[in-house]
Amino acid sequence: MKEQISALMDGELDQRAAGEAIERLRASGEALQTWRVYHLISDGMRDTRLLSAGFTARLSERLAAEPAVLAPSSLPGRTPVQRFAYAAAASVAAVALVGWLAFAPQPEVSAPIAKAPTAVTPAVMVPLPSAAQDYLLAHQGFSPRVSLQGMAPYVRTVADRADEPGK
Amino acid sequence: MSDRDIDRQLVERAQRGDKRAFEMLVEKYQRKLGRLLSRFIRDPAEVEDVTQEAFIKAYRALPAFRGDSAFYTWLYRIGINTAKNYLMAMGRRAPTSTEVEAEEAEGFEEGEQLRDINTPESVLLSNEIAETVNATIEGLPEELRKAIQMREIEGMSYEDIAQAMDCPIGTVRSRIFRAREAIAEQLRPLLDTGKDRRW
Repeated sequence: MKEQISALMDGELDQRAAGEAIERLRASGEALQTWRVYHLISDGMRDTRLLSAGFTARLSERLAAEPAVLAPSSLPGRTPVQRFAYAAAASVAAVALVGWLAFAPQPEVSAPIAKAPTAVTPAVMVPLPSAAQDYLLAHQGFSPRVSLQGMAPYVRTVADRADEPGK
Repeated sequence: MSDRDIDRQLVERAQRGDKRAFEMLVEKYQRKLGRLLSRFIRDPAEVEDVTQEAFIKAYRALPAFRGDSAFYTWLYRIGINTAKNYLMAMGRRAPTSTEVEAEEAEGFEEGEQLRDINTPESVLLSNEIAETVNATIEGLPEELRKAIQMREIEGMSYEDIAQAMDCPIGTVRSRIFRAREAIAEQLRPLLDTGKDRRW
C-alpha cells in the first residue's frame, strides 16, 4: 500500500490504480499519515519552508466546521474519452445545422420585399485635350481592341474631336 | 496519471463533498504555499494564519474552480490575494522587493525561485527536519540515493530515471519507495514531539 502511495505522489500510477490509492488514503488514517510524511520528506529535501506541527490539526478543525461543498461535476473534459465525446457531439451538431440550412425547403416569399432605389450616377464626359486625341489617332494601330475594325476607330476618334467644346 | 491529473481527481472528490480529499491537497501544498506567502509576511505565526485562511477560502471557492488552470496555480493566486488583503487590513504593505504578482504563480514551482525570510529561530526549527532528511539520504545505498534525488531534486519521471540508471521502471519505483521509507523511519521520533516543532 505504501509503495502505491509513493507512486501516487509522483504521478506514476494509471487512472484506475490512482483511484484505488486515493480510496485507501480516504479510508485509512495510517495511509494518510504516510502521504503526509512522504510530502514532508519531499519538502525537506527541497528546503521548503516548514510549518508548525499543529498546522494541519488546526486547519482540519476549521475544515470540519465548514459546510461540505457540493459542486456539480464542473471540470471540463475530465477524461480523454469525455473530451472526444464532447468534440464528436459538437461536430455532429455543426454538420446537422449546415445540412439543414442547405437542404431545408425554403419558405415562399409572400410579401414583396421593399427594394431600395439604386442610386444612378450619371456618366461624366471628361474631354480629352487635343494633344491626347492626336496621340490616340496616331497609335490606333497598336490598340489591343479587335472588336472595332476598319475605319470605325478613326471615325469615332475624329467624331469625338469634332464635338470637342470650343472647336 | 500526471501530478496535475492527481490534483484534478482530488479536487473532483472534494467538490463532491469529500473533505479528506481536500486535506490531501492541504498536506501536499501547505509548505509550498507557506513558503510563497513568507515573501509577503515576515512573522512565521502570521504566515501560518494567512496560509490557513487561504486554504479555507480555497475550500469555500471549490465549486467555482473549473480546472482551467492547475490547482496549485489557482491556490497560489488565492494565497497571494489573501496575503495582500491581510496586509492592507493591518495597514501594512508588502515590501517591494518581495512583491509577487499573481501572474508569477503561473510558472511557480517550489525550490530556488523563492528565498525564505524566516527568523533565525524558525530556520533552526525547520532545519531539524531537513538535516535529518539529508543525513539519512547521505547514508542510503547509492542506488536508492540516486533514485530519490533524481526524482525529488531533478524532478525526473520514473521512465527517465530508469533510462539513466539502466534498470526497469518497476525497480525505480521500488527504490524510491524504499528510500522514502528509510527516511520516514528516521523522522518518526521527531514527528512524535510537541506542537512547537515545525514540519
